[in-house]
Order: sequence, then structure tokens, then C-alpha cells
Amino acid sequence: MEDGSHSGGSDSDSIDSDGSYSDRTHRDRSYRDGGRSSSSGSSSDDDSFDRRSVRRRYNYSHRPNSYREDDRISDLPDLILIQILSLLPLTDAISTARLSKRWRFLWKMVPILAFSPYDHHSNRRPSALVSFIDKFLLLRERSPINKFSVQLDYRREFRSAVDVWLYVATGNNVEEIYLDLEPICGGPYTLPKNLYTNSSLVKLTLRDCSMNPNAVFSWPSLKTLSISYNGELNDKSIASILSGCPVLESLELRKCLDVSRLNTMSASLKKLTIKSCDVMQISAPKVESLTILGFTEKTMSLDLPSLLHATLNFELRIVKKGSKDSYQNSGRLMTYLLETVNGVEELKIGTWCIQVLSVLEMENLTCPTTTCKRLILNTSFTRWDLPGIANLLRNSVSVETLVLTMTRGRKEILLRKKDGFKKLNQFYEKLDGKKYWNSQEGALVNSLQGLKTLKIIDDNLYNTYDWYKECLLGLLQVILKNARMLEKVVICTNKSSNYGSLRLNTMEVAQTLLSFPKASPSAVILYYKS
Amino acid sequence: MITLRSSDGETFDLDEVVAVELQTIKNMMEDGCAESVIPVPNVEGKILAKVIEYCKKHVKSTAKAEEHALSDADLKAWDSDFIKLDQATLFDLIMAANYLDIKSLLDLLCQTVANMIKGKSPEEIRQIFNIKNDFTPEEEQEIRRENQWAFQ
Repeated sequence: MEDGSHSGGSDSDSIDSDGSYSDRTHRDRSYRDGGRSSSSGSSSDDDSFDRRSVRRRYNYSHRPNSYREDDRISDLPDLILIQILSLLPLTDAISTARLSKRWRFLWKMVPILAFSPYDHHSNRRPSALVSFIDKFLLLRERSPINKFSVQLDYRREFRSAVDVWLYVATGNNVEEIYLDLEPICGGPYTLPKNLYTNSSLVKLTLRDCSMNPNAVFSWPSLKTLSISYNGELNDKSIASILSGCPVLESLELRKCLDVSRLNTMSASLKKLTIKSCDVMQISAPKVESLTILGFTEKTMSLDLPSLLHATLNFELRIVKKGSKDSYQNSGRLMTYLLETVNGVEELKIGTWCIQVLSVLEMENLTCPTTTCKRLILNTSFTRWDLPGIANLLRNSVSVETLVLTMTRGRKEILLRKKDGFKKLNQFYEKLDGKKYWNSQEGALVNSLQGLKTLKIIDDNLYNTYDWYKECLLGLLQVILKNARMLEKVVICTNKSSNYGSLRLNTMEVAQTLLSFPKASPSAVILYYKS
Repeated sequence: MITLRSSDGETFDLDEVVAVELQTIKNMMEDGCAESVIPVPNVEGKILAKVIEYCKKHVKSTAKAEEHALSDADLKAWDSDFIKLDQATLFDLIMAANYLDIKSLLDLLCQTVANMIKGKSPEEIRQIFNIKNDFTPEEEQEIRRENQWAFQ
């Protein structure tokens, strides 16, 4: 018989399918839509049951969605639902198993497997994540794996688990593997030998993975390779890797401190990124894009005849701080690099490099001329950057697009008075941004002739002082006055930056800009918030 | 100039450069079986219009690499306006993008649906999409247990 203890709350409305009424206190409170789940088969004729189900339906009628009859989403083909599930964190995808019979097993076919401690809300312990991955792979359908990605605080005891995962992934023809296994206890993960040869991999990212530097690698389908924090790979290993990847298009090396030369005849390699490695020599005939980031201790020699894009956003670590020699080294390096990349279409330069050019400028050493069409300056726009920016602008005679990305201020190059930089320091202390640009105007006129687009990205600049805003407005004034072909000025401000920004998106700034005389009458000024 | 005809007889003229964004149409053109008017029997006029609107906007972006950096923000803003749709249109568009094989549109729409699902409980998801729960409470309990390992 029906349990008489029917309480008014909706969470006690669900009824067991076989018609038995067990103690309601055990009922799971989350069965809120119990009204929908008609008990399969055994419809009770009980009056009170009908009344209750009517009441339930009534309870739902004032919810906005209840008038739509169709469940369009479940009508989508499997492949599309699986694609949608692939865009969710795995735990969310697994939850959809409860939605309806249609959805119960779809999560098992998701081909993109990304595991990281951040997806797992309740339990962040590495061992919990390892256990989750183990079980996931066990329960998953045998279906293709497009991407297998793991970010894990690695301990030695996880080694066999990771081996098994990679075995399963490669057994399912995985195309992309991402391993970020920062060793917490007991040394790094060593890549199993069966991974040195793989014909389905297209993209491979390895962080903190140890490999045999003398091994032979064969990845015939690999197009993108990124290796970081690997101190064992040496020049020979890289050469061996490059010869084992006949279609490699992009190579990234980060903190691989034993690599100093990169010589390759690869016809496919188009993009090279070096971050915080001490690479001294690079020679690659088809590379079109070179990016040098981070810290380096060695000066470089480059042979890149096909180069179209160059990014120089690095810092030469000064071994003997403050000695004038080391600054001369930096100056020579920057001069050499700019000469080498002077034919590129797009040149991107970071703040340390700009400050070195400032020092050169103040010593009346002008930097080499470049013919780049797009010049992107990643700068903290401090006093120590201005002469460098002027130097660069003056010598970039073909610039059509100029982008200034204002980034978080870094400490300026330390120039101590006792090292002979007394005059320079005095100059910097007295530098008035606005006046500086006025004084540079004559020298900049030529370079500004071809400028069509100017973009200022205020990316959370650390400095809030008016000095910087005045200084930037001074530069903008000079540009607007002389750029006869200027089509647009785009100002992008960071949505979240109220604190720590130039506050360029104010009415005051807008009006000031509009008041400047323009050499190009059709130039427009646009404001974006990102 | 290519002309598409929807299931309800509306016709749409497209430049070839836009038409090739629709992979299905592009294949037909390459195979030489594209006639003057291509019927698209699975797609209604109102939906086909939206598809074409999307393709026109996105074709311009791949044209010039130089303008690319600037119009990225533009495009994103336009896309986020574009996807403000009622569910019926959203799913009609997904089916159309799938049939006409327009990868970027399909990706955008799938991401939109994924965003509606992310972080929600099954009950909430059922409400949003009107999914009928055809499990018995016992079956649901069983599934919870089956997948409990994922939530520990």
C-alpha cells in the first residue's frame, strides 16, 4: 500500500518504478524532475498517485521552458553530440550519461581526452587524477582518440600508469599528445621507447619528459613538436629528431639548455621558437618565422634566408652585471640581429631589446635599417624605452602597420653611474616624454610617410601615472601630424583594466586626439574593449 | 555567381568566393555537377539566409592577412551577436552547417551549445533543452553508481 507519509515538498514526489514505496527519507533529493519520469510500465491506478502527478505537472507549468515540446538537442546526430561533449570538461561529459537513454554512453566516444587537476573540482591530489584517468580509459569505448593531454604533478610511482595511458592512446591512433608532467618526487618521467617511433602523431608537446639523447626518432606524420625543460637533448639529438620528422613544420624548444646549434636542411620546417635556451647558431633554409624569447646567455649567429617574421623578445643575461663590456655585447647582438632580419615582413620586438637600442641611440649608434611592413613593439613605454622606439621607428622606412603593445612594466636595464653611464642616467632622469617626441619629429617624418594603420594595445600596463599618458599622446600627436597615408588608429583597452592602465578610453583622451591636426583627413580613430 | 534554392523555394545568389565556404557546394562545383541553381532540400529559407550571412562575414576575414589582426576582435564580437538565437534556430543551423559542411560555423554553434551545458547538473540541462528523462529512478540510481568513480 502507498506510504501515507506524503509530505508537501517536491523532492519527495518520486515513486519507485515497481510501485513499491520505500522510506522517503532515503530518496535522493535531486530527483527534482521526477514528474517527468513516468514509471515505466507499472502505472498505478491509485487516485492519490494521479492527483500527485497532476500536481507535479502543475508545478512545472509556470516554468518558462515547459511549453516547448521538442527536445531538439537529442535529435542531433551522434557525431555532433560527441563533438559538443568534446568541448566540455570530461566530468561534465560523464554527467550527461544521466540525461536520458540517448545520452547514456555518448561520453565514451569523445575523442579529445584532456586531463588536468583543474577540471576535477573536489579532489586535486595527483593520485586521484591518476586513478581517474586509469578508470576513464578502462571504461571508454574503443574508439579513435584524436588528442590525449595530461597535466599532472608527477611522481615516480605513476610511471607505469602513464606508460599504460600512452599505450592505449597510441593503440587508438592518437594524433596529438600533450604531456606536462612536472616531477614532484623522484625524477622526471622517461618516455617509453615505443613512443620514439609513431606514425599517427601529428602534434607532440612534451614538458619535463626525459628521452634518450642518442635514440633514433621516427615520427613521419609529425608537423608540430614542442619540447620543454629537457636538459638531456643535445645538438645531435635535435639533428636526429629533425631527420626523423620529414614533414615537421613547427619546432619549439624551451629550456633545453644543452642545445646550442640548430642546423637543418629541412624543407618543411617553417616556424622556429626558442625560449630560454642558449642557442648560438641557427641555420635553416626554409624557416619563415623565428621567435626568440626568455633569457639567453650566448650571442647568436643566424642563417635564415627565407625569414618573413621575426620576434625578438628576449633578454641577454648579463654575466658580469654593470660592466660596460656586457652592454656593448648586448648592443652588438641587437645590431647584428636587426641586420640579419632586416628583410622580414613583420618584426616584433620586446622591451629589453628596445632598451638596448635606447642605449645605442644615446651613444649615437643608430640601428640598422629594416624594410619591415609591420612593426610590433612590446614595450613598457618607460623613459628607458623611448630612445629605442625612436631609433627603431626612424630606421623602419617601409612601415605600414605599427602596433604598440603596452605590457606590464619590467625593471629597466640597470645602468650604473659608476660604470660610465652617468650622462645617460642624467638624460633619463630629465626625460620629458612629450618634449622628446617633439624633438624627434623631424627625424621620424620619413618613416611615417607610409604608415596606414596604428594600433595601441593597452594591455594592463602597470603604470598609471599621467607621465605615460602624456608621453603616448605626444607620440600620437607627432604621428597624426605627419602620417599622410594614415587610415586608422585603433585603441584597444583591456576590459578589466580600471586599475593599472593608461585609461585611454576616456572622453578626455578621445577629445584630445580629435583636436590634433591630421595630415591624413580620412584617418579614423576606433576604440575597442577586449 | 552561384544560386542556392532552399527547401521552401527561396533563392539566394552567392559570389563563388562565398560559395566555397560551404564545403558541400564546393565539392559539387569541383565535381562539375553544380548547375545554375543548386537545390538545398534539407534547409529552410530562413536558416539558409543565416548560414549565408555567416559565410559572407567570414570570407572577408580570410582575404587579407594584414587586416586579420584588426578584424579578429570585430569578428568575435559579430559572432557573439550572431549566436544569440532561440533554440529552434540554433539546432536548425547546426543541422544546416553539418549538411553543408561549414566547419567554422559548426564549431561555433557546438561551442555555443557546450557553453549552455557546461557546469550544469543533468536536471538543469534537461530543463534547458526539454530532454525527457526516460530512465526510471532505479536506472538513474544505477547510472550514478556506475559513474561514481568520476566524481570522487
